[in-house]
Amino acid sequence: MSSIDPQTAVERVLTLRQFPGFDDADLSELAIVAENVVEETFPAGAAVVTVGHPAALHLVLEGRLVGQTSRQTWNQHEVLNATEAMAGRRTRETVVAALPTRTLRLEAKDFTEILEDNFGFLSNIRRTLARRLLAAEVAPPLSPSVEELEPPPGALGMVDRLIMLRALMPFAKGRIEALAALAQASEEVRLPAEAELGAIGMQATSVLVLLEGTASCTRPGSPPQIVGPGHAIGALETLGEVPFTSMIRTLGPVRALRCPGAALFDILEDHTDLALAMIESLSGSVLDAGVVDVFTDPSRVN
Amino acid sequence: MSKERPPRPWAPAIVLFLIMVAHAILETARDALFLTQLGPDRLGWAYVAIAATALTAVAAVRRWNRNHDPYRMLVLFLLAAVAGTGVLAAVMVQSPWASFVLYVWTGLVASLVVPTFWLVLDNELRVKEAKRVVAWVAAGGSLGALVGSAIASVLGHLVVARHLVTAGAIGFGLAAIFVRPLLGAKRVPRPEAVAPSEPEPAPRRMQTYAVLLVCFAIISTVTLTVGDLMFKRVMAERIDTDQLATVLGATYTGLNVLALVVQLAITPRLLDRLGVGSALAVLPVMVLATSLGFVLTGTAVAVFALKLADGGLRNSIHRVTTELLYLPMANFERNRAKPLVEVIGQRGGQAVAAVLVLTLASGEDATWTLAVMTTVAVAIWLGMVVMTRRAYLRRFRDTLEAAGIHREVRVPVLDEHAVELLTATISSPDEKQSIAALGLLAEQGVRIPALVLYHPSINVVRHALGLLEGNIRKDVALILQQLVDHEDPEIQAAALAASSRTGRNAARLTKALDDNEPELRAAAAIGLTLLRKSPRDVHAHIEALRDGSEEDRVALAHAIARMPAPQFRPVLLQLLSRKEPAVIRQVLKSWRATPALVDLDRLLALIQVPRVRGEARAVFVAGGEAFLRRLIEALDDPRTPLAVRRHLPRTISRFRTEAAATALVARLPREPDGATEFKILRALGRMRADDPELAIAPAPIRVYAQQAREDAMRYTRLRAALDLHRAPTPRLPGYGLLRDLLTEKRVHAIERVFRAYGIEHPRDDLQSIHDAMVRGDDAQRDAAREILEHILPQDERDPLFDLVAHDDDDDEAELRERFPTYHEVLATLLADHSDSLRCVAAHHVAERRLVELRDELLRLKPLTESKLVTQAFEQAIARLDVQH
Repeated sequence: MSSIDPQTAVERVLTLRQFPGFDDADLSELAIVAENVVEETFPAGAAVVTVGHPAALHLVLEGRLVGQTSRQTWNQHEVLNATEAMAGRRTRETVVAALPTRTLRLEAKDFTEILEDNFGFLSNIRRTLARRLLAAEVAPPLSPSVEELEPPPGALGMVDRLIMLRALMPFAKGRIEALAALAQASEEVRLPAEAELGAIGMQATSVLVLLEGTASCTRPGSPPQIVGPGHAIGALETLGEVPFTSMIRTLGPVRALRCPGAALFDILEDHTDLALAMIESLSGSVLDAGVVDVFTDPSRVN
Repeated sequence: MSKERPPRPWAPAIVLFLIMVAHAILETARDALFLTQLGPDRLGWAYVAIAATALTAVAAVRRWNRNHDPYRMLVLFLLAAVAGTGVLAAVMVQSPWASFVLYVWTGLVASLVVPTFWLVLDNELRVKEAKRVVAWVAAGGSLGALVGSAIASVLGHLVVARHLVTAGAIGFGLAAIFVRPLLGAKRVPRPEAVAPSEPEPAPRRMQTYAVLLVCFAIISTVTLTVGDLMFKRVMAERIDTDQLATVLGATYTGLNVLALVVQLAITPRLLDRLGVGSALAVLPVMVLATSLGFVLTGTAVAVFALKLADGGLRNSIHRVTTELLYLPMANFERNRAKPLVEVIGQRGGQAVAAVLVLTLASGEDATWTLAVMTTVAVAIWLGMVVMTRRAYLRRFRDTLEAAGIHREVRVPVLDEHAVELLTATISSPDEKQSIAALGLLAEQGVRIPALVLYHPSINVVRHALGLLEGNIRKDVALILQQLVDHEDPEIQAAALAASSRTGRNAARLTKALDDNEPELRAAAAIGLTLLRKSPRDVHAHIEALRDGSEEDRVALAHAIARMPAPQFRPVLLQLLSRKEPAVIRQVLKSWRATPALVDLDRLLALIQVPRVRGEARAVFVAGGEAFLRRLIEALDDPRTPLAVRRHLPRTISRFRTEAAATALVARLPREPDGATEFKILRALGRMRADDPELAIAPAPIRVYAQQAREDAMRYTRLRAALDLHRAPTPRLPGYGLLRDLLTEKRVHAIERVFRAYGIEHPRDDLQSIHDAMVRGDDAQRDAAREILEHILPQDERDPLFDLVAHDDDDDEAELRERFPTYHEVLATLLADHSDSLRCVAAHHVAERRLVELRDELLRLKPLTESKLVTQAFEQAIARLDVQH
C-alpha cells in the first residue's frame, strides 16, 4: 500500500531519474525509492548531517550543501552520503546547507534494503562502482589471508576451491552456500608462461584468481604492474561489464581459478547478501581511494 | 538477541491482591447498603454519578500531573482511598443517602486505582512477558476479590454492613503500605521502540486506536452493566432484604472462585491457543448465548448463567486480554491514553447503560427489556471485537514497518492529472525527465503521443522509437516518413522502415543500400526485401551485414525487429550463433513482436545468459500458453541443464497465471536441486505478492514449511553434535567450514519456512516478520510474534517460535545417545540431502584422516545422483588412501 498520492509518486520518480546512479534504474525500483524517502528542508547554515553519525542519504532537490571540513559541495541532483551508506561507514564530516536547501532523505538501512530487494538497481551500482575504480586505476585490496594461501598440490576439488575463494574474498566469509555455488562454477586452470589473460578491448567474461605464479598488467603509457597470488584478474572489468583496458600476460607458469562472469552474476542475483557485501567492499575502496562519488556526476569537478 | 528479563509476577500480584480485597469488601458493603436503603431503581443514577465524578477526577489529575508517572499516581490514589473511605465509614449512619455517596466513591476509587496499577505494570512489560505475568497478576486480583468477598460474607454474619466500610478502608491502608516495597523498588521501564524525550503529538493512527479502545470499553461495559442490573433485579425480586448482603457475598465469593480457576487454569492456555484477538471474543460470545437464552425462555437459569460468565470471565480472560490491548502502545502514549480510555469506557459505559435502563427498562417487562438490550449490545460488542483485533494487529505492523522499507510498492497507477503531467513532461528539454515520463506512460499502457518524434533530443526520439516500434501506429508511421532526412542514422533508418511499409521512398531505400551507416544499409535491405524489390542482390547485402562486424549484425537484427517477418527467421537464428548480447537482444525483440518466429529450444537456452535473460523471459510471456507448457516440461525434465533449470521458476512466474502457479507448487516438493527449489519458493512468493487472489493449493506449501522447519531443527542438532565431539587443536579448515555451513543452513531453512508461509499469507508481509524475528530488537520481535499468533495455528507457530528462539540444541544426553561418536555425526552428514554439506563432510573426513569412514564413503557414493558429490567422495577416498 502506498503512503503517498500518485501525483507525488510520479513527480518523485521523474525527479529521481535526474540523479546519477538512479538514472538507469527501473521505474518499479524508483517507485520503491520514491515511497521510502522523506522530504526535508534546511535553512542556510543548518546542519544536514553530523560527523560520526550513521550515514543517511540526502538527494539534493534544490539548493546546495557544503562539507565543513573538505568544503566539498553537493548541488541540485547530487546525492550526499550514498557511498558511505553502501560502505557501512559513518558520516565523514558535518555537512551544512550553504543555501536554503530541499532534499529527499533516505536512511542508510532503508537504502541497503532497497538494494537487497532490487537486483537491477544493485547491478547498476555494482557496474558503476567497478567502472569508477577502473577509471581511477584502483585495484581492490588483497585479502589479508593471501599470505597463508596454500593450494593443495593435486587437482582442486570443489571444497578446495571453496576454501581458496573463502580465503581470498574476505567479504564473502559468511556466505558459504554462495561460495560453494561459485566454487562449483569455477575451474582450476594451469597456464604456461607468456599466456595472454587479457587484451585491450577484449570483453572480460570471467575472473581469474591467481593461486600460484605471477602476471604483468600493462596499460598504455604506464609501467607494467606485476600481480601475484590472490589477485583477481578481470574482476573489475567483469563486474563493470567493460572490456580490458590493459594487456595482461603470465610471467611464468600460473595456477588459477577461473570463475565465469555469467555464473558470478547468477550467484550475486541468488545471494543478494553476497552482492551487498561485495558492494560494501567496492564502496570502501572507492572512499579510501578518494574516487568521485558514485552518485556524483563524474564530469563535475569540485 | 538480547537476554530476556525473568518476569517477577508475585510482587505486583500481592499489591493487586490487597487492592482487590479492599475493593471486594467495600463493593459488598455498598451493594448491601444501597439495595437495602435506596433500592435497585436508583442504581442507574449512581452509575451516572460515578461516570461524572471519575471523568472529572481523571481530567483534573491529567492537568495536575503532567509527567504522568503512574507509580506516583497509584500511591496518591491509595492514600486518598484510605482517607475517603475512613470518612465515609464514620458518616454512614447519618443518612441513607450516604450509601449513595459510598456507591459513587467505591466506583471512583476503583476507576482510579485499578487502571493506574495496571499502567505501572504495563510500562515494565514486553508483550511476550505480559501474557504470562498479566495472567498471574490478574489471578492475584481474582484471589483478592475472592478473599475480600469471603471476608465480607463472614463479617456480614457478625457485624452490620456499614462496618464493612471500615474494613475496606483498612484494606486500602494495607495496600498503600505494601505498594512501595513491592512496586516502588527497581522499577525498570521496558525499552521503547520510539522513546521521545518530549511527548510528541500522537500520530493519527494511535489516536484512532485509542478511540477504538474507548468504544470497545464503552460497549463491553454497557453490555455487562445492563446484564448486571438484570441479575440484581432478579436477586432483589426473589431474595429477602435481610438476606441480601449474605447471599450477594456468597454469590460473589462463588464467582470469584470461578474467576480464579479460569484465571489460573484456562486463561494462559486460551491465550496461547487463540491469541489476544480471538480471546477477546470469548466473554461476548458467552454473554450473547445466555442473554439470548433469557430473551427466548425467560428462565432465571439463563440470567444466572450470564452472571456466571460475567463473574468468571470478566476479571480473568476479559481483563487480561483488554489489558494486553494497550501493549502495542509506547509508554508515553499509554500513560496519556489509558486513564481516559478506562474512565470513559467503564464509567461512561455505565452511565450510558444507566441512561438506557432509566429510559427503556421500566414497568413489568423491565427484566425482559434488559435482556433484549443486553443481546443487542453484545452483538455490537462482537462487531467491535473484529475491529479492535484488526487495529491491534495494525499497531504491531506499524512497528515492523517503521523498522523497514515499504516493499509492496508498484509504479503508481496514473490518474488523469498524472497522465497530463507526464505528457507535458515528455516535451521537457531535460532528456532524462522526458525519457522517464515516456517509460512511465509505456509501462501503464498509456498511448505515447507520436509528436514526441519531433523532440529536439535524439536520445528521447530513439527511446520513443524503441517503445513505438513493432506494430507501428498509423500516426507514428506518418510522422516517421517525414524524418527520412534526420541527422541521426537510427532515426533515419526507422523512417526508411516506416516508408517501406507504404512503398514510398523506394528509391531512397535503394540508395541507402550503399550508405556508410550500417543502420541505414540494414533498414534498406530489409525494407526492399519486404517490398520484393531487388534492384541488386539484396540478399547479398543481408549476408554481408550478417557476416560483418558486431555493429553490422546489431543493425541487421534491429532492422528485422522493426518489421519482423517469417522470411527472416533463418537469418535471426544465424544471428544468434555468435552469442553477442547486443545482437541477441535485437533478435529477441523480433521474437517478442512475432512469437511465431521463435525457436523454442534456442530461446530456452538463452535464459541462462544474464545479459539477455530479461528479454528472453519477455518473449516467453509474449508466446502465451504454448510457451508456458514448454517451460513446465523443461522444469520437469531431468535432462534440462542446471544452468537453465535454475532460471525456469522465475520465468514461469512471469506468466502470473494459475497454471503457472500450479506447476511451480507441484514441482516444489520434488525438485532435487536446492537452488532451484529456493527459486521456486521465491517465484511463488512474488506471484502471490503481486496478485494475492491468485489461487494456489495450500496443502503442499504447508507440508513444505513443515519440512523446512524439520531441516532447521536437524541442522541445529547436527551442529550441536559436531561441537559436542569436536576434536582438540589444531582446528582444521574443513571443521570450521562444516560448522559455519550448518549454521548457514539452519538460518536458510528458517527463511524457507517464512517464505512458505508468505506464499500462503501474501498480505501479511512475512519477510518483515522474518527479519524482525531473526534480527529485530525486542519490540520488533514482540510485534512479529503477535502477528504470527494471528496468522498461524498454535501447532505450527509454537515450534517455529522455539526454533527461532533457540539456536542451540542443549539436550546433551539425547545428543550423546543419538550421536555417540564423532564418526556418527559425520556419517549422518555424509548421508544428508544437501550436496554442499556432503561434499564438505567428505573433505573433512579426508583432512582428519578418518579411515573408519572410508567404507561409508564407498557405500554412499553409488547412491547419489549428484556428480558433485560423487567427485567429492572419490577425492576423499583417494586422499584417505594416499594418507593411509
